[in-house]
Amino acid sequence: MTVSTKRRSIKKVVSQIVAVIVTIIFIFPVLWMVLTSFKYRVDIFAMPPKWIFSPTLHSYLYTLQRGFWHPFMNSVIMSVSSIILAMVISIFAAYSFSRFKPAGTDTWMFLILSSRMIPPVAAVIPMFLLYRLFHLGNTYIGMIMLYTMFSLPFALWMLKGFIDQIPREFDEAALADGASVTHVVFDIILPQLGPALVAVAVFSIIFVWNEFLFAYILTGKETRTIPVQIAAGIYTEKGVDWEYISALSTLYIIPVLGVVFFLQKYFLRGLTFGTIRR
Amino acid sequence: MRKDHQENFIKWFFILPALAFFFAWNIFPLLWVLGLSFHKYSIMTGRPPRFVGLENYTRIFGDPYFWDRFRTTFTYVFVAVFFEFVIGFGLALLFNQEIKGKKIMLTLMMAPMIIAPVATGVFFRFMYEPTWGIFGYFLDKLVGLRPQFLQDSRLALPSVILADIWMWSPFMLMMTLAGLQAVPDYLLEAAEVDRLSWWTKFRHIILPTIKPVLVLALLLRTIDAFRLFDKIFVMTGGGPGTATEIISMSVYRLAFLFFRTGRGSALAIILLVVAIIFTNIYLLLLRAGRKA
Repeated sequence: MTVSTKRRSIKKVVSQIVAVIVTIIFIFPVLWMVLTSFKYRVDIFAMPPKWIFSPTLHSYLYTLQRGFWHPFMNSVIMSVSSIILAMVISIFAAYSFSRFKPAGTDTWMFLILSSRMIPPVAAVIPMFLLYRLFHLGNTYIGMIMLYTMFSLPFALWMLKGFIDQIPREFDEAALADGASVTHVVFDIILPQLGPALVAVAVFSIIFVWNEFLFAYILTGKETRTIPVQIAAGIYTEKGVDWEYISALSTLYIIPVLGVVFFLQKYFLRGLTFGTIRR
Repeated sequence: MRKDHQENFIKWFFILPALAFFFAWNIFPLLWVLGLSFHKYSIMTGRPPRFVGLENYTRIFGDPYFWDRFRTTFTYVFVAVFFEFVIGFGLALLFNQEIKGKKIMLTLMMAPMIIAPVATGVFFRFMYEPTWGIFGYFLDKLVGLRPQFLQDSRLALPSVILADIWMWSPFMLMMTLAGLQAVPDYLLEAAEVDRLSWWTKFRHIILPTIKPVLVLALLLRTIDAFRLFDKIFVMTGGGPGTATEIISMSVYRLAFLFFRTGRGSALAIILLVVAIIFTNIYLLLLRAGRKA
């Protein structure tokens, strides 16, 4: 008995230690980049690497000067507008798919979801031609519409799942009282969709904020987003500009990390796509 | 009667915007790229596309260069997803125990999958720098080697895959853990009472519950691995030579660097078909699991 309790407590200690080490390994690359962004140029290239150094905001000041606000605001504008647009469109569609079940509902839902599986390089060629034809390249409206399509499938699926769980009696009672369908959607369904909308927003922001290929091909100087700025800003005449890249990517990852960490309950719910019910 | 009519109108009216988006931004472009794949066309010349039938496809399938690119792609996808699965599963078993500070640890471990692939690529490139990168420093200390990770054509692919494993193992961990936590406690307690071996418990109680979520995780990872572009673009650009040139990189090169838009479209369609085939394999597995 004592042997087995002893073995158990050893196992517990080992698990604890392994868990800590694993966490450090997984967070290390991020930590290292963030630390780098607070170093002077000489410390960045120091060998052996410097763990302790005198911190400086030099890289950040330089980044603000070399170009930050413009691509940052572009990313913000495109993410926020496209997510809101996607939500508005999918609330109505999800309501109709859930309540009226028009012919081919399952097929439509499946097709729309599977569009998320298309490799982006397959879609970027026609998109480039399409945007050139309609002069949508390097425009906010073009990028916002594109990103709306990015968020739409997931939003539609999440919201339909949620609306399916709202008892029909609620809307039927309201309809019997003579309320219009639009009224039902806004006053009865929408107030109950809070958590679903947050989950949708959390996921969409990851898709849109992190998107690179389409932004790289379709945006121009005025509409360039941060990921494009990072990829295009790596090289300068003095080689790789690590001061700029480290500070810029640190500033870039903070908003999305913040959103997900504060709203992780919703994030985890969306992650398993409703496969796990508890 | 009038009510039915009105409902019918509203039903489609509500769906219309979503479907319009879907057609304009998905179906139409896909048809366009399918059409282009049968044409000789360059985005640069402005000459109208010339129909060439299956020539683009036969050229691709007849060219050992592209077979090589497919081999690189499959190596990437399978090695990465395999290790992500194994590591994620192992970690899920680890974190399914009582561990102090579990919540904060899991929160921190979500970072890799949330951070943009472009940023991940940049981080790893920074650590892989041959002369002053931290990875080279560690290896030098441990085994006295200082490899040229991304510049060495034998090491470039494994190095890029390692970044993928770092990024996505936590995803497998989260999915598996969510599955493990849904295993009914009373079954586990009953197993404890009956003194079932760990393997029997795993095989008959845990696995049936977590199978759907495991298959789903593998499906999402595999498809996403085929879609990969950003990370490789930032880390190696497909090089050195063609060591890390996966198919999506070749599509990009053909269409936007060599301006052979028709050929690039054909390759894109092939990639799409491969992705669809894999999706269906997993969906069959999911369905088979549900029936059992």
